[in-house]
Amino acid sequence: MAPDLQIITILIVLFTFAATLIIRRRRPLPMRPISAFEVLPDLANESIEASRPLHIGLGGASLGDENTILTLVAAEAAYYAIQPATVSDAPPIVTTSETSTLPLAVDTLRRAYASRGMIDAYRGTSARWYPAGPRALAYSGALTTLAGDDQLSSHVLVGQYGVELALVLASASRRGLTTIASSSTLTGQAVAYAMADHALIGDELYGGAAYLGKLPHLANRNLTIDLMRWFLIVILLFLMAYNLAQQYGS
Amino acid sequence: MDLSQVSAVLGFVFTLLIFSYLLGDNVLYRLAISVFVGLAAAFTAIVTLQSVILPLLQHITAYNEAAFLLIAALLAVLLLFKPLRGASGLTNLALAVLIGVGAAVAVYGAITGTLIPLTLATAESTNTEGIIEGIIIVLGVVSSLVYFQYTARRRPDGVVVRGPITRTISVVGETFVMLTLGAIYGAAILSSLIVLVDRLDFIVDFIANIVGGG
Amino acid sequence: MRIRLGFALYTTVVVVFGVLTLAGLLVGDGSAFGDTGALVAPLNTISNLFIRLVVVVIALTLVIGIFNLLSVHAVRLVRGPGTGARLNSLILLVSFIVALVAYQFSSDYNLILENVQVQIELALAALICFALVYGAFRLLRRGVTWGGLVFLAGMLIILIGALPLSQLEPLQQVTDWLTRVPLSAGARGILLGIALATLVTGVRVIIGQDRTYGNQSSVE
Repeated sequence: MAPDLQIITILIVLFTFAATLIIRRRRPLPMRPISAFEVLPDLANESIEASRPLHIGLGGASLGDENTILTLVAAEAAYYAIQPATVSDAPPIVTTSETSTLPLAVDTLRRAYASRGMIDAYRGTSARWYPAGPRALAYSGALTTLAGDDQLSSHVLVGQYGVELALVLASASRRGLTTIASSSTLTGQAVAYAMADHALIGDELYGGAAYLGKLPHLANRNLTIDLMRWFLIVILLFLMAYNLAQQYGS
Repeated sequence: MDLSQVSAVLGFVFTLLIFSYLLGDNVLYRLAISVFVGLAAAFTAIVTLQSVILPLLQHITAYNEAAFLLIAALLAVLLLFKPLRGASGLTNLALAVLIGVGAAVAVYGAITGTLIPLTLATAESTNTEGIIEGIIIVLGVVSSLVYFQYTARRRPDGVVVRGPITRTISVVGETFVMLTLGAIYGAAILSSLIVLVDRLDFIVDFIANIVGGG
Repeated sequence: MRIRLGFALYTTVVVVFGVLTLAGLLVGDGSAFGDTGALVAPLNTISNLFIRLVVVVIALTLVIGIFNLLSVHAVRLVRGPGTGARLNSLILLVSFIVALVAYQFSSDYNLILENVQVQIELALAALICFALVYGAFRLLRRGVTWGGLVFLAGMLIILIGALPLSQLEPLQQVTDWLTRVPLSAGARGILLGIALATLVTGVRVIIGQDRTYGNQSSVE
């Protein structure tokens, strides 16, 4: 990397560190409503009433690489979806197509059960790995059959998906399942928007913990993201003005 | 019947089993999916073993390489025992290593792979795309960023809304974002249509070969 | 007390590995720091070592995946929710074992199984077309919103622009302009937003502010 870009990278990291340390509001600011986060806690009730398991798919989100943060925020959303559903007769199911994410899926499930004092109710078969297969079609194919085999009540698909998400959402729609979907890829987001009952697009999944957990430190994350967003906007406008001035100047 | 014919017949049969899903979720479709998942798992295992694990073992030439692999194996074993409640303290440490290193890689990747290149490309678009187009691109990016803003304000009646300026900008942002997602969706339909035509072609060819006695 | 210590240790490991890896990636080979470069360069060696370690661990986690797949479906075979689920688990296990055996003993049978996998994959990929068209119709029926209308407009522009008709050539130019300008802006806006969120959340994880995972011991 060129030395000037390296210095810019370091400055961005230091600025983010500083912003993160400075922003420590005790009372969270109000946040715009996002339908998926309003509906998510209700899915547990659906699962309990119907005695059918809630499914949370983490897709191709993986740990240890560039997807790590995506995987962590997907696991956060999974935790808040699972927690109220742990009392259901049909235990919630978490699936992933990445073997590195499987221990996190197990951890998330166990934490959710433990938080309700029901760790003994946790079943080892609740966290499942299905191979991604070519174009991640083995995983999405497996999810289409899971809905019938395990009589799912709803799908929460948070993580990394591509166009194959369409198969899962079409099959869920056929069965009348409620669906929440998001993806880190643009194609996955397009499919989620068109086909899911509630879609999370852009960076909405990253702010989910604040909506679901309702803890001030989680709301501070969203506030910091917004601060960085406006900082970037100012930089973009400044750079554009500078470029235009140079173009007209020459 | 030689092996290539067996292969073609199996391909044809499984294609029909998958397409049977169009008539509704059925046993035949699920059977084909189960075979697919089993095969995919086996091939994933074979490829990882052949291209990652075995080469690693073959390249152990020094004591420190062996120690390195031993530590990696130890961490993997700890993760394997994640489902055991008694071992959660130790297994969490292995998970912590993956999260710590992964978070650093993700932060670095987000800055150098997306943030800097896209910011520079956007700011320079008045040079590369023309002045009007460049300004539209910058305004599109800015309004899209505003569209995703979390924080809003609470009205006296308790309803959370965006301020009038933010709301106006975010409608512009929504237009850019939705136009993009719609176009991507359209492109996905076109790509999948090509695959569908290819599959229908395969079915027709197969039947023609049988009918024609080829 | 033991419980809290366990959680603190877990957070410490995240912070130590995260900070050292990030610092190593940021300083690179140290050339950007002039004379002090030689002092900070070892950080890069440590960071590379950690990343290599994690890459190997991830490869080895395949064993965890296979173990999970076999155990989950073995349990389902015995105590599955229904006959159909049991049958599916049985078929999955049999095809997994058959593929491994075929790989060991016969390259011909292995080729056949690979071909079966490819054919199923292509058939499923073709099925996506129906799912996407169904999704587009579903969107139409969902009620009118500004976002939905613009989404459909974007989709139709691409679909109509792809039609090979000479009368539609002017539309092709519009499609090209849209792709180059507003669509590129929308995509950049989404990707920049995700990158910012990754950056902020990542930094918070690295400095131990976001600890919503792995605290099994703290809640037990």
